[in-house]
Amino acid sequence: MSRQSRIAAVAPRPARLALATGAAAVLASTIAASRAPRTAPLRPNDCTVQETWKKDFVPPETRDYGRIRLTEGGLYRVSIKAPDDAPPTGKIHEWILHIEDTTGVAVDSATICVDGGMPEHGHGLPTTPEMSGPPANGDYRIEGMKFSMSGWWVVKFVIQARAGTDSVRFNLSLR
Amino acid sequence: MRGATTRVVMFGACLGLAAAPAVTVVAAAAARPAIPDGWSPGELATLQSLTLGTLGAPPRDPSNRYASSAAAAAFGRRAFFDTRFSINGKVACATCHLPSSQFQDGRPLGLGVGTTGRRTMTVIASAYTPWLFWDGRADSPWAQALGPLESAVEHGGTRTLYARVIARAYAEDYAQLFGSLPDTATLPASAGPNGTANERAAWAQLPQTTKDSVTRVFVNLGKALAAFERGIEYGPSRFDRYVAGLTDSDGGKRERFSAAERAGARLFIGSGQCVRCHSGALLTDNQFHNVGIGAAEPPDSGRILGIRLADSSEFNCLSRYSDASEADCAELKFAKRGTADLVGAFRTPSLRDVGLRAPYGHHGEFRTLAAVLDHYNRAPRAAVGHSELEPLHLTQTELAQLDAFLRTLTGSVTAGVASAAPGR
Repeated sequence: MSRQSRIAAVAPRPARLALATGAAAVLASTIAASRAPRTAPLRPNDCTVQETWKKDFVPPETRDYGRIRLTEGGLYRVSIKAPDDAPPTGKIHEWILHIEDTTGVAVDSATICVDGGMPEHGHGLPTTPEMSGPPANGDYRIEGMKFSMSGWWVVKFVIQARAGTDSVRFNLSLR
Repeated sequence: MRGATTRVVMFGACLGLAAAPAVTVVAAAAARPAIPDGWSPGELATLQSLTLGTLGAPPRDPSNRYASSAAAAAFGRRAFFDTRFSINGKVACATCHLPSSQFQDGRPLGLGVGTTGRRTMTVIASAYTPWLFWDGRADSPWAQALGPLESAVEHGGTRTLYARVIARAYAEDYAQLFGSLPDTATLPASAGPNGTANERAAWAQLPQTTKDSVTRVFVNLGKALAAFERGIEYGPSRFDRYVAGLTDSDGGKRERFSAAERAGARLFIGSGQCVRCHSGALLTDNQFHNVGIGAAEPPDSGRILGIRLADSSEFNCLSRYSDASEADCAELKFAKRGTADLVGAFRTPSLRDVGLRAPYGHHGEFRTLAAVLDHYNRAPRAAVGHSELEPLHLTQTELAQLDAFLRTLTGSVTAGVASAAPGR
């Protein structure tokens, strides 16, 4: 299987998502599992964290708004790049997600799923962003990003590559 | 999470996004005189983000090549008021979207040929939202306009009926705008895929080429209606003038707010948490939220079904009747589907002119703004799905202040095509 087709096979398509009845149990186990590296294939709900927003609350004074972060299990170093450095509100746009391993080598074999929301408001992203096309030198296009309003947003990426599955969250303060 | 945060700080690579605005704010505060009425720079910025001056022109609608056509808008304006576009000759778009009443009808449920299942939404500023209807089942104003025309309880008509009306009363204007009409003389008086059993049967017997050409006429009617509606916008309110005055050096002429209105504005952007969803110049995030409004029977599932209807609509952005390329349809492509938070979720309505638009709620559940505010303050459990709300614990005085503030959002309505009055 080629790299591109592998990505296409694993990346979630919004139309395929089924109604998430019983989502809470799935999500709780997802979050717990995402703290440790895994090798099981990503499933469509792996990124969904809507029911856990309140648990994810971070006081304003301790929020890290850095654009470069280590994944929670320490497997990858991830950076985000949005248009004009400041993501817009109310407009669909795309991000570039750059993934390296801990030695600084670009990771080009990852599958990624994306989710996010506003922990203070209890709602998720208004869209279902997707990884698009093959990566180049560790850069992955993430299409369909949208933030419906200003304020504190959290965007979470679950990354699955050769070293294992790990997740990372970015804080954003949108104006 | 904390561990990861510490490690990232050790890399020394954080860009410190939050710090940049703070620096700007401090510098601005040092250079400017105090803001009137005790607003902080941050509060002022939030208030300014809600003003009409930040809105700009409506975004382009690539799915409708006639969206900005003055001729199409003039056509659409005539059609908007024309009761011949209904099965009984008595219902026009303006029957429920009254120009004299905020382009809505003031009823809990719409009243066309029959009674609708939801409150009539205003068409003001509809060009700004990617999703139309309470559940967002249409992804463009023209697709929205076609829904009521084929609804059995709204206009109650059919595609051949409307094509025949256009051939009879609009043939010349139609031909100039859209090209020649198909031959309507041989069409059934009323036939369409969403009509009564007889109307559907008559439609089924038509050749596919006839169905296509008649549907194209129907679509063009919707695109002309959308072109007219595109020019219907909100005008400035006392709130807009008040906020503009906060940074106006000529303080003597600025709009004044009462103490209650000021307190209400502070609650709106503060502990009342209204601005969380009622954000931006139109005071809506154009998204879907479950706020616990709606009865258990009959259950109204809202957005969870609305997006499925949008996906299957023959008039969506990706359809053959859309003028958009696939790349222009990102809202539809990346829309959230199938998640639990969409159950019982409905589109956030604009709060502009809200004081003039009772009753409130997607079924017109609340007769007054006070009743709406009481609902948000109590945050009852949702009958369908799960409400995002939590109790606000505001006092009666604070609720009255919010009520007073909301009434400052009233302004005039502007219509882009000469006037919104009926005419020929």
